[in-house]
Amino acid sequence: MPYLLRKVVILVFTLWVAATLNFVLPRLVPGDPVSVMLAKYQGRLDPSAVDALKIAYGLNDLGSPVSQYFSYLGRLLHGDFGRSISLFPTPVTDVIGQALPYTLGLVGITTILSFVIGTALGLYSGWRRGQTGADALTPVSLFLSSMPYFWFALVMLYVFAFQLKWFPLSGALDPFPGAAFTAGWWSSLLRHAALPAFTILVTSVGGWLITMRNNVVSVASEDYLAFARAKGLTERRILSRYVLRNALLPSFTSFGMALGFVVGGSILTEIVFSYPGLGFYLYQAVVGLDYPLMQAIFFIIALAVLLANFAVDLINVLLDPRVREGRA
Amino acid sequence: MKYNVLTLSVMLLASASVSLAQNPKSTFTVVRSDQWGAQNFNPFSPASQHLLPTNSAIYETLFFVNSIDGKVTPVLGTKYTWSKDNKTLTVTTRGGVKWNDGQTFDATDAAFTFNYLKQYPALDTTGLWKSGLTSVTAPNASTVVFNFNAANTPVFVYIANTPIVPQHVWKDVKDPATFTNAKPVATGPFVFDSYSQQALRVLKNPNYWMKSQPYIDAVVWVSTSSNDAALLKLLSGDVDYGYVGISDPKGFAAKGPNNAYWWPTNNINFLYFNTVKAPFNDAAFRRAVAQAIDTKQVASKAYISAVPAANAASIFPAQQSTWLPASLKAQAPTFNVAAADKALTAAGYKKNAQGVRLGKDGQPLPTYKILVGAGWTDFITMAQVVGDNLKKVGINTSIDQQAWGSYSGGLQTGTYDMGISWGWGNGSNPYYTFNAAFSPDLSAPVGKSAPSNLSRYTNPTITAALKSFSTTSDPAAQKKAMSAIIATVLKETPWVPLTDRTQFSLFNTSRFTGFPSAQNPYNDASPDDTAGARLMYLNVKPK
Repeated sequence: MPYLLRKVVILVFTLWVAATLNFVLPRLVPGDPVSVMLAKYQGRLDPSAVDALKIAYGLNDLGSPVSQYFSYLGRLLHGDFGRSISLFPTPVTDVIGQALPYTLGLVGITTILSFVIGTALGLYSGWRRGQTGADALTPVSLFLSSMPYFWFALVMLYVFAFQLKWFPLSGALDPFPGAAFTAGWWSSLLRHAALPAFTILVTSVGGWLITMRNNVVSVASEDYLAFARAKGLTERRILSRYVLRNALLPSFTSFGMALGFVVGGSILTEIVFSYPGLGFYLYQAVVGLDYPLMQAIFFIIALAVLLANFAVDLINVLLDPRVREGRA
Repeated sequence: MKYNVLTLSVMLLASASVSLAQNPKSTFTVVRSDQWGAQNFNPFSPASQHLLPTNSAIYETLFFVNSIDGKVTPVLGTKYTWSKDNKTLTVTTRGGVKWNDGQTFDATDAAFTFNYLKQYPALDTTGLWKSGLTSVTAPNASTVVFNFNAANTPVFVYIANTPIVPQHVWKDVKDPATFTNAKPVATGPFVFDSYSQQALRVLKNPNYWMKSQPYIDAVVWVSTSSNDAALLKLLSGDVDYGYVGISDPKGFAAKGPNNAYWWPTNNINFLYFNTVKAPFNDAAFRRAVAQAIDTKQVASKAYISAVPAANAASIFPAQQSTWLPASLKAQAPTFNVAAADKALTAAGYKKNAQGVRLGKDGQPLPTYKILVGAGWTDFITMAQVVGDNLKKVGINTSIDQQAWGSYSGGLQTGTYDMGISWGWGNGSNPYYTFNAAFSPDLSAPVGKSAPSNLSRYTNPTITAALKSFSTTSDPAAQKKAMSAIIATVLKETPWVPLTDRTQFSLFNTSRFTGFPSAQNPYNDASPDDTAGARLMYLNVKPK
């Protein structure tokens, strides 16, 4: 119980620090949203637009930084993130609401898939050391995980979408896919997600594989395995009940973190495949100094990572008796 | 009786649009290299905040002024005249035009639109009511009268380019800055059909005032996230038009018989000198530096010879025949390293034994920073070439890359040494370029933000000539004023024009004809979300 209480207090405190940093850091970047907007139009927006835009965005009468900070905290507690400046007058929650499902779907599912596949292969590779297949997995996964992602993604796009035309060139859906959640809509969604998901899977599976393999190798030399064998347990039972569970624990914590970061989207994927996720909006917000959108997305990332961490801590209590009894 | 006819026609209209919606026969597809936002058809919002069809296909303006050659095409206005003292502009509006909800358009809607900008200053993004406009009235159903307190003829472009909105809808809108106008009522050739994150569609307006145009039934926009993705879509023939700033348009055109591009010059990339800092406050120093820069090399390295070097007098190619007399053309500085070297020494900046240029105080000149945007490969290359050129005359430079905010902030607050940027004003004649660049009203003391006079250079001759240009509509008087400006700028060299800056229209002509081109420049190759694109949507025909 004290363990959980401690974790909750740390969670709330870290959230407050994240919210404060969220407020301070974007404002340390020089410039302001309106002059950035003016520069971006490269002469197509008249300089006399500055006053008009400042009034429109409510940037002309802000008050001191301290009062801004407290009203920001107050609005945060009410869930009011304000209106985006670069996509004015859309409320920030609408922008995030449009992009979040795609990010959670694509990046979330591929993260889970790559964890499962990488861990399974890592278990095989670590357990069957000495066999050619298992040994070959290490250099192959090292190669795959050190490939530059954008290069690999561009090559896949060029070969499979542009030359062979097996997959669409861009987007998350066809231009007119029909009503949502019909068969045609699902087929369009899956066809568009295939190539981005494949590239993410291929480049991230290697990391999980090697971590799991190392864990398995270190567990394999433990005394209790020798004891289990001496006691006559089958290899399969040793593998599934003792080796897997003990080797999985360290990976689990980083899996939790990775799930938290899913919310940040994958900016490279979204640019190469024009997938409309949060990463692209975050990038646009940072470049355009769109404070409300930037703050909201950063806060959501921080919240997701902290919650994921918290959830992993809870699950660790369930999974690891050593933590349960305070002897971790 | 009338009621029945009305219902019948509404039903016919509805069924016509329904059948079109299910099956538009010819669809013109445009690709976009960024994602758009929410469903916002507010024509007053700055460009990226309203959806792309808003001002290009749905709403119309009074006139279209071609920004390349200044030609005026009538749209909702058919005629315009300035009074003798140039303080009154009278516009005749078109008859027989209906809003797409069936009501009639007339001059009161136009007058309402302009007075609406006065009522809500947040919408006045071209500063119309700050440029001397005092009143806008509609004395009858086909005339609009604009009254100014001081003559200012160049403001016509901004009046011509304002989208006209219906009084009967907008008079009830309480907060126009946040109004998203989900069902736009407008006069344009297309009406809104469908919105999603990946595609926008507008359908042909069956009651459009042009009887035989547009020739197409629908325009569809598809979004991508990068220039490369948009380019791939153009190459694969999925789309017909894209405004994409690729690095090699000639290569694009060479890849297939249906690939074409039209990149007319409508601006210039300049090397700005911060004329409040020594030695850039010395005209002789600036002139000599201009002679040391090989603009041809700058352009060919930065743009793979797709874009030429800029005209040394800062006049766009299509405007030279009107505004650049041959006598001034001859006065422009030419690239000559030896002459630059001599000129610098003659101006008091000698070279020491190591070849380093010394200041007037005998100390070596510091290394000057050339400000460019971070990651902008074309500007970085330009800065590199300029740096190499200047090294040959003993001046050392370094490249200072800054993100958008610090880049524009540094230019506007005057903390840079030299900087590369586009003309922060440009238009259908050189007045817009020179006014934005050298008007004392658009400058500011160092530390405050200057709207567009980045070099903070002013000159009484230029200021007087700008005023006499803007207070007349007589072409001869305007030419005289412009020549005075050009001659002074050439003498004082407050900046160095480096390369042309173009529009980026790319076409795939496999399904349609009638695109604008250098041979047929009916619009100015402007992007697919601007008023100029309306002419393209009206003129393309299925093959």
